[in-house]
Amino acid sequence: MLSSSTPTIGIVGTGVVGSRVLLHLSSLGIAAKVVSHARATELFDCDVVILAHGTPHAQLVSTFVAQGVSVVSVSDELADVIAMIELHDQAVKRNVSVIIGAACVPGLSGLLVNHVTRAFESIDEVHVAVHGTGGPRCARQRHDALAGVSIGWHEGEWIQRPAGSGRELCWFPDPVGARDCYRYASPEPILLQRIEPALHRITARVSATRRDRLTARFPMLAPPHAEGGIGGLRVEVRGVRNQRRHVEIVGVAERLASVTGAVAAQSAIAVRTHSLASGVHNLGQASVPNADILDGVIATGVTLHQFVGQ
Amino acid sequence: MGSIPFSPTTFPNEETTMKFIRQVLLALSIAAAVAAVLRTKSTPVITSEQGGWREVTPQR
Repeated sequence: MLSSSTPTIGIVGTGVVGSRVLLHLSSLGIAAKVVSHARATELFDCDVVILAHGTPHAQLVSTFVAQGVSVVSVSDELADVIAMIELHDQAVKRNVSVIIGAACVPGLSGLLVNHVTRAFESIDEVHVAVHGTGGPRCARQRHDALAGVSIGWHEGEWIQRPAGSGRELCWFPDPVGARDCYRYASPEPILLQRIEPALHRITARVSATRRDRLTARFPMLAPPHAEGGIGGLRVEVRGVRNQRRHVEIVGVAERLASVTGAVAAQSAIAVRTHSLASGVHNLGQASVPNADILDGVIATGVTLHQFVGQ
Repeated sequence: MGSIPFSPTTFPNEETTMKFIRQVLLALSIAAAVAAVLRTKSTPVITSEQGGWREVTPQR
């Protein structure tokens, strides 16, 4: 356990995810300073700042990097994540570490890909699916993502497809079960390709109903719930083991805000306690202590499931 | 004094309006009937899933 007298971790965002991050850090005896987005400049004296508010994050990440503060971002917005990747040189110059996409998808998905890869001689396909949302901002972001343009990695080329297309029935761990999932505007393929550049195919899908897809191009008519119910994550990795094709499927069924809170908190601890190289990283990359972060996430009560059978 | 200039019970567009409403109702009825037939006649989806989820603990 880390001492509470060590330099603090800052949290921007007082919503569902921010409160879960604070809960996880408090349970480990780590002091954290929580402020709203409008008062983010009060965290310039922190070692690490976790951005747990609604997107976009790139501008604030740039501000903290300029102040020499390491950052963990939970943003899952495509354009926002691309903008944060472009801050790599600035982070190296300021000698600070930035972990982007420290949520569920992306985030835990990258950790699971890294974990599962050890069961293969080589991997060539990763297919990720997610069900559910965290807080209200997450729900709005997911609503918009179903109306945008989805990107995917296919045989060494980036492809664009309309979000909401490409229906696929995906099985999540109980109690979520089987859900129809569709392409959506997610940064996940970009981040997974950074983990394993040799991959041939990467897709990311989200569960949606007919109503979700029909109303995606309109403003949300009813305000989202304060927090989504039990969500799910499913990571399917294909590759070669013992000279034969092999598939591993792992997943979790948990409230996504809790998963995101645990991943973000453990990422911030990793930034503080490990000698992470300066620059922009995402979970799953070899430069990140993935095993330590995954162990920390599972220690918070997140149960990992593996699909066995055909 | 002469003819009644405007009848209080018959509007000039009433017949056209009623015709349009009847056509809409007819179209909706046909669509519902077709949807009902397709729903009952369609082959039920039989999933080929065998197996299930089990809890795992990551091994280093």
